[in-house]
Order: sequence, then structure tokens, then C-alpha cells
Amino acid sequence: MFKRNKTSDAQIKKQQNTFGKILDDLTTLEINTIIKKGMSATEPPERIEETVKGLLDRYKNRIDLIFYNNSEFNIPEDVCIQDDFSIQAFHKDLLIIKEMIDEEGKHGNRLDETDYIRLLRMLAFCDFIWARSDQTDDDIKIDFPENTTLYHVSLNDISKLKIDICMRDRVKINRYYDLGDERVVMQTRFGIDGDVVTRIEEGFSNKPKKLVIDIHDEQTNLSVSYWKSLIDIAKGIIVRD
Amino acid sequence: MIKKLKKYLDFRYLSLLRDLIRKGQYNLTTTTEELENHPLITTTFYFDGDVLNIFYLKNEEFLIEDFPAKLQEHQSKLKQKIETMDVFADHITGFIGVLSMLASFLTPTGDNSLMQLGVTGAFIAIGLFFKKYIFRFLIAIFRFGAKMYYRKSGEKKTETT
Repeated sequence: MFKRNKTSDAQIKKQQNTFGKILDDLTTLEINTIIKKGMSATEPPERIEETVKGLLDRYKNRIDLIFYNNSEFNIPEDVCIQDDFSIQAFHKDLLIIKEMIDEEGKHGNRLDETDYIRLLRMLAFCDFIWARSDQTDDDIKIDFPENTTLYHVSLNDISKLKIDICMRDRVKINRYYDLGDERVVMQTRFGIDGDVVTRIEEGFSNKPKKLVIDIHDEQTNLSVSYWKSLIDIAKGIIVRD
Repeated sequence: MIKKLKKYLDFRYLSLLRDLIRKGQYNLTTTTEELENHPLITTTFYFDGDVLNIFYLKNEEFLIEDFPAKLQEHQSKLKQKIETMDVFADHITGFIGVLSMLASFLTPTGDNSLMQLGVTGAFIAIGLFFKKYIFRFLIAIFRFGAKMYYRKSGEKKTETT
């Protein structure tokens, strides 16, 4: 009986912690507009395990494409060829690649900015998974093999894995999957302190499309009312009196 | 007014909220039959308020440019979903408040959160199961109240005249 109470208290504390983090997330609002070339029109994977594997495959293919299109960069031979495919190994490779690109940039040999941003996004994804793998309660754990975290496990046998993950992290991974390696052309960011920042990609700003700008503008207005509704719902749940 | 409220309370229109709770995100993709159901635009709402728009290209051209009616439809669908959320948000404060009050009243210890959650959940389940009858009952009370009010004010009127 005592044990059950202890567990439920821990669960409640964890739920409160997650809810607090969700409220934290509500303090900023971000509207991204991306342009996608071609589309398979297939549904995104339902299982989070497939999503992670799919995302890593896309990242790997993009890295290959970047170096195929930029043959002047000599990619180290031992990078991105591991058969045993884990986020940890990919993260290590990305750090080597970034260091090399930064070094080449100092000598005037710069990588295309869109590709560089893609590289940074891939690094951000690896950093996010790494931050969730510090052996605390918030870890993204995996059932097989025992006590392995998502950061360290090989994703080759993804069908045998079962990732234990909270809704918040699941959505974050899904968001990385949705963004994929695509080109973000416009971004508007609202802060709770009233700051609004709109970023427009240089390539797009040289050849802007009025329709895209209009829709982004309209979606921004819609997002603000959507955000307001979310805040009202959260307020309704918290404020009882 | 009642018809409108009934429409908004219908769970078919609450897909945005349902998906937000179940999946943490809601996707709306507009496709066109003319291009074998090729997607034209996708909008994703995330649980933390963020939004992602995806435009699809075909031969370097924005597909949505050729289908303005589809774009209009996409935007109006989104507006409708958010309006539904607004109505829901307006009502939730009172709804949650009443349920919490009932839950704390019925549970033996006021601070037993798990028990409270269970009773609240049971009330929601009962509410959902009998929502049609509860709604009819509420309308009947409202009508009765309105009838009494007008009868009274009518009586007052005759007194003054």
C-alpha cells in the first residue's frame, strides 16, 4: 500500500513536471513556412521508432548529397559509413564535418548557407536526444536492450525496439521529422515579452512569392488565436475557482 | 444560438483538440483530385502553439497558385477549427470548476489527487455517454426558465399598464 502511494506520488510529480514544461513551451510561438520539392504523399510513420529511423536516414542521405554537390570539401573517409547506425555515431560524425566546414570557411571555401543551416538542424536534433540521455528519469529509454537510451542504441534493428517516451518529446521528434531537411523560407517568432521576429531566407527574399507571404501572414494571425485558445484552456484547467 | 453551440460541442468538430490530446499535434493537408490527390498545402498545429506550413512544388511552381479555391477551403477549415477551440476554451473554466468541486465533495479526503482524477474522469465519461440526454435536459431547463421569466415579466407589464 505504502509502495503504491510512493509510486503514484512520483507519477503525479512527473506529470506536474511535464505539465510545467508544456506551459513553458507555451511562452513562445513559432510559425515556420517551408517549401517542399516533390512529395510521396505517404502518411508519416505512426511508430516513433520508425520516425526516428526515417529521420536519420533522411539526414544521412542529405549529408551524402551535400558532399556530392560540393566535391571541393573532402569528407573524412571514416565519416557516415558506419553499419552500426546510432545517433551517437551520427552526432560524432556531424561534429567532425562541422569542424571541417568551419575550418574550410576560414580559407574562403564556404558551404551554401541553406546546407549549413540543415547541418545545424541535424546537430540540434542530436543535441536534443543527447540531452535526454543523461540517465535521469526524463530519459528517452528503450526496452531492448535493457536500460539503453535512444542516443546510444543502434537503429538497425528498429523493429525490435520499443522506445519509452513522453508525449512532449514525441512531438518534438515529430516536429524534427516534419521539418526534415527541407528549406525553411519564412519564420515568425513571438516571445511572451512581446518580441516578434520574422526571418526570411535570403534566397526567397530575392525572389519572393506574394502568395506565400500572404498565407504566412494569414497563418500567423490564425496561430495567435490558436495560441490564445490554448492559453485559455490551460488557464481553465489550472484556475479552479 | 443553441444550434450553433450544439454544433461546436459536437465531437466531430473537435478533431483539432482530440488530435492535440492524443498525438500532440494536428495536421490538415489539402489535396487535389485533379493531380491524383497530390497535396497542395499542409498546416500542422503543435500542442505548444507552434505552426508549420508546407507548400508543395511541382516543376519549381507552387501548386497552390493554380488552386485558389482549395486554398480558400483550407484556410476556412482552419478558422472553423480554431473558433471551435475558442468556444471550448470559454466553457472549460466553468466545466472543470464544477467537475472539480463535485469530485472534491464526493471524495473522502479532499487532497487525494488520484481519487479526484478518477471521479472527475467518471463524470466526464458519464457526461459523454449521456451527452444527448444531458443536453436535452439542459435545454428543457433553459426553456422552462425562459418561459417563467417571460410570464413574470408579462405579468409585471400588465400591472404597469
